[in-house]
Amino acid sequence: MAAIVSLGWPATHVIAQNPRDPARVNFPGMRHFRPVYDVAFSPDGKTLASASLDSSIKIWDLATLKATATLTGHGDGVGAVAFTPDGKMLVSGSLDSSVRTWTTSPAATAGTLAGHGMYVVAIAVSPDGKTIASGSYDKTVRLWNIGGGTRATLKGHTDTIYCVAYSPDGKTVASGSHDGTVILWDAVTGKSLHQLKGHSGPVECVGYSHDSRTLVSGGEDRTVRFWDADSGRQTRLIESAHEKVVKSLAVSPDGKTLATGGGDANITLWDFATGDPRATLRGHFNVVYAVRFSPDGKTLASCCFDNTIRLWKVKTGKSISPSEK
Amino acid sequence: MSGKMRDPNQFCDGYSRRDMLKAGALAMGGMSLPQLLQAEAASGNGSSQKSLIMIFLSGGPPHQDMFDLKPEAPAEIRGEFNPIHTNVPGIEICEHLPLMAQRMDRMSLIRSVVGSVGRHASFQCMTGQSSRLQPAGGWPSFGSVVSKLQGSVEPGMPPFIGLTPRMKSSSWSDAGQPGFLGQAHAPFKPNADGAANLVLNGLTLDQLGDRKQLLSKLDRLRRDLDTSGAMEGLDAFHQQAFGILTSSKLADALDLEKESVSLRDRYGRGSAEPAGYGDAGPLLNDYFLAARRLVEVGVRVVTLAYGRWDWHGRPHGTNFENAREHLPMLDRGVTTLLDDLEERGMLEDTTVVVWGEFGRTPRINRKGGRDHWPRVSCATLFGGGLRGGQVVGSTNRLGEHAQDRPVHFQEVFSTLYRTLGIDVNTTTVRDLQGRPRYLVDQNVNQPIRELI
Repeated sequence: MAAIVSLGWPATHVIAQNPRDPARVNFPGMRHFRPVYDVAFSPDGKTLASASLDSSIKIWDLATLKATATLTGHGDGVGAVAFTPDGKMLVSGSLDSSVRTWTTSPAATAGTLAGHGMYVVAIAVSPDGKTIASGSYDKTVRLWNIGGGTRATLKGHTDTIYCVAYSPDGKTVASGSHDGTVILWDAVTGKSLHQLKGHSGPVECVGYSHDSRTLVSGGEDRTVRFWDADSGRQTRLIESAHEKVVKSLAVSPDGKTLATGGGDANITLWDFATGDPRATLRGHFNVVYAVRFSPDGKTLASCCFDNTIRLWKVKTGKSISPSEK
Repeated sequence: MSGKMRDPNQFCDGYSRRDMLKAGALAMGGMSLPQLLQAEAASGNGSSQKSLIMIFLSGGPPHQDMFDLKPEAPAEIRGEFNPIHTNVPGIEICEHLPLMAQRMDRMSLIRSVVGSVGRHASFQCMTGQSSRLQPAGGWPSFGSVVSKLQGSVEPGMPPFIGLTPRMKSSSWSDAGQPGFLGQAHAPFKPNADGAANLVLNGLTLDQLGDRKQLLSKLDRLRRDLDTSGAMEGLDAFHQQAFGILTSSKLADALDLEKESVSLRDRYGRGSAEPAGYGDAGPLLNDYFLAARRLVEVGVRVVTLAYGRWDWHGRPHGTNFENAREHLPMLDRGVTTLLDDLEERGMLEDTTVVVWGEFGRTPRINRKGGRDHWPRVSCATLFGGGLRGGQVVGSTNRLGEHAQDRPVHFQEVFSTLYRTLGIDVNTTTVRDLQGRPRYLVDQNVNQPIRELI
């Protein structure tokens, strides 16, 4: 019989990139085949959505850590993803300059919001689920009706926007930019309320405390800064929070813990009240693009330029491997 | 059946007529296997078995972040990586290449490659020539010249194989054009579209018979269309082609399932998906293993494109984010290739060159990337009897230009030809007008004396 000829090779995953660390060998968990830029927990905490430079969004069942759906349709990498508060929809922003909405059951495209002139890399959904905020390389923040149509285009930054966040009370939107500032916007009128200056480089991530009173930002200057959201004054500074850029942050639902993801591939858990570090979570091998707390606050999800998504127990700081599920 | 990468364990019971037809038109720059074999016979068979593996880093790797770090430069130039010592005193390379650092005594670096035309293409790395002002038919690639001059090691074994898959950016997926030497010296490209249809396991004898018949029909059609007369004597080559398609060393060499799992793991495996933006080569370390297996069975020149090194910055990841993914994979793949060749006693006869079309800007741009920098780039060579532990040339304080001992692309080619026993001072190939052409600009670009 004819010899077996295998002239094509399957898309096997990376075996070992850092020979000094066996943890990188055959990472068995959740991953894309290109960098993962954002993750979002569903409001019921049962699923996770991940957005990747591979142009797809994957939906993961957190009971099995298996992908249950892959959403395709964006014409370029997906930079950001968020669930609506009722969990019925997903919103994504893409390097194809569009914002898309998706139904979650069944997982399918629902609509496309066009208007940004460049990459969309930041997405946030208002607490009432009616409005989407998107941040773009076109230097604007746009507020969209979730059903379609632009509500406002927020202009004020002088450079690329990297991050946006809605306050939990829904009254303000924060945006961070390559111009080194954070702007707090009135979520209804779209007016600029405060421009927060202090970072000495691009602002990479912003997030609100659970009571909406404090805004936290992180940036390329490796600092984490706490700001009074009403006055716009800086109230605390963590210098050298990471060895490289502070790329991502999240505040736990109970407001007690701040998580930051860094360019040093580490995740740090901080006591929100004191700013003291509590734990360093190691496992990623590249820049941590997003960290998110689960709705019950017990689990932290992270995603990385190393193509992987990881889950961590907040209490212990231990990685949750598939075998533990 | 997909014409792209596929599971080697998949059976092919569902073969379609279209798939069968594709098998007769193997991706050898548009020629069929019989053509290739015909060309081999015409070329004769060289006596030696010296080989070259060329690893093309598609996109232009950052010289200053790999082999020519500038730790004393300002932050906006020196970047994020630190140098580490190698096992050769005085030579330092990037911290993300620790395995190469341990083997630097067997490898050599050129830190002053000059003469890039600045085009995003593999052309110059494949030919040594500028793509501008080409002769009629175009410059032939290194592999095509070797095919012309030395032919096959044995019948049925292509002298030149390009493992590069089809990419969105076609100029990167060029595994080496035959130019004025003609399609007879084009590379056999098993990863090009349609080639996966060579997978034969699960075929019945009847199906094989059908396949032979279909090949016959296809080649008869090609013969009808051929007005040059080059298809004469096709039938004999047709039979040999059928031999390759059924059972041959080539087929076995390309079947990585025949290799031990442990060795495949040592190479690092990788992913067949296009790396980075998705328009260039994959970070697939299986390529390195396949290259070794091909050289082992007599292929003289193997080219492959590896990764996507065109790192202009976000939102597609900074130069350094991408480098953290690419460098450790390259480090593992290249060093395992070196070890593997050495363990098999093949290193002295196999030259490996690792390089890209140009370097990258000294200054990091505002998006965390580095842009194109044709003024200087770097190359790594080992094996083939070349001296190890050498650093040829240097750049200035900021890595902007060759400070001393600039090495032209053609000097690298002169060196590579020499390792295959080809003297660039005396060897010529005839162009379409019958005019003899030297392989490099004679009397200017000689083999690199520090390496020979």
